[in-house]
Amino acid sequence: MDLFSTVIAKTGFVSLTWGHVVMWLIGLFFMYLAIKKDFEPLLLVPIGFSIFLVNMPLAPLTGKGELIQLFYHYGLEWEVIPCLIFLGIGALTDFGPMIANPKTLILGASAQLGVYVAYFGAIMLGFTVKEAASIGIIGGADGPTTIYLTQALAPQILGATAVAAYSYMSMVPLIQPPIMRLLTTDKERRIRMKQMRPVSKTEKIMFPLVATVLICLLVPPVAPLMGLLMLGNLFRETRVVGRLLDASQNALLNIVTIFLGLSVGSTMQASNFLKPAPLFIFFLGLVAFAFSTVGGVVFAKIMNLFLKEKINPLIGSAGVSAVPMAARVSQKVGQEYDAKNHLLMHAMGPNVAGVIGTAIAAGMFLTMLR
Amino acid sequence: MWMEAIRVAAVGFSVVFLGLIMLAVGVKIMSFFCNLGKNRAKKAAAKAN
Repeated sequence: MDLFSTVIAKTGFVSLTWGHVVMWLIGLFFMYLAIKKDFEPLLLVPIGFSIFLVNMPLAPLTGKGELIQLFYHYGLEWEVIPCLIFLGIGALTDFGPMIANPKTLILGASAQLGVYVAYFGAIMLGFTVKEAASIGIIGGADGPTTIYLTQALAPQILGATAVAAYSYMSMVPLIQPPIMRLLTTDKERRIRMKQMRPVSKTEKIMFPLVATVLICLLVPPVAPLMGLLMLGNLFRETRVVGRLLDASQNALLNIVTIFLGLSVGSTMQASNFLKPAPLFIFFLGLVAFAFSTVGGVVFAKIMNLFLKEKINPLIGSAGVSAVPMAARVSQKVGQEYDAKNHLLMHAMGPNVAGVIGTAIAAGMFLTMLR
Repeated sequence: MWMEAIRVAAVGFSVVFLGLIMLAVGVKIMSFFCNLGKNRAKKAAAKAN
């Protein structure tokens, strides 16, 4: 009988709480979004399953030296995963549209508005300045940068910020279009932009070097992120390291994504997640995303007051990072009003500028707060 | 705390703009020199022919 009670006591059933069940439901919701709605499935499936898994009572997963804790420790705490993800993003990104039209870099800056709006919102809700910076950066729509900054400034809220960043990134097609329509007129949405000039191979090879020098000198704390982003891009543009490019774009990125999903999901344990703070973080993340979209669109309209060749303000919303989904949203909304208006390549300029802008914003928070 | 928060935001947002403006100017200069080199190479090739 004693043996029987000991065995029973060691099963998870006895230790199961309502908190675990709520977290299972949250994990299932993430998996539903990924599988049924196709929202960032590469991330939301591992994150959702990890939430599910780490909320199995007594499972040896997140204690010191246990499997997922090791992924978390070496991947996120050591900030290796965000940098490797940036290597893959760099290898997948074509900076050509931005090189052809450098004005679009300014849209990438204006779309950081949401970062600072959410930052002040977080302080008003009682978060510390460091936590507020980590919450604000969600508005940059850049998961790896959010993780990189939060790990350095406020690791206690890493789970909520990372999950909020990736969840909202996947919801860009839902969040942005109403705001874009609200802030633009019918005439503005139909603006056709001139075809971009072709960008030479030399320019594309030189860009990662120029960008590395400028950004790493301006904000040294983000050198690991920017350095690997530009290295990945150099692999892509030189075309002499096919195997390295292939590894960065596919195998490495896929492996790192699995570790990222498991590690991020593992931070969402019932004991530390079912509190008011994560709910505030999710709310502020939405505010950040909305205001970043507003910043990009409104600044594009302001630029139009001074430019001879007008830009379509719909590309401003792509200044939030979320590459290339935000650019696709600009294209889609533009084509609803003029089916022959192709904005995708024009929107890629502010889109990749947004990645750099968010990294600089994070770098400045690190410079001033770490 | 609010003073620190405002200072961090003001300096941070300004540097984001400054950084991306610097990058835009840097890209313009880079493109200028790349195109200059390309045109010179074209002219040299035309002369050789």
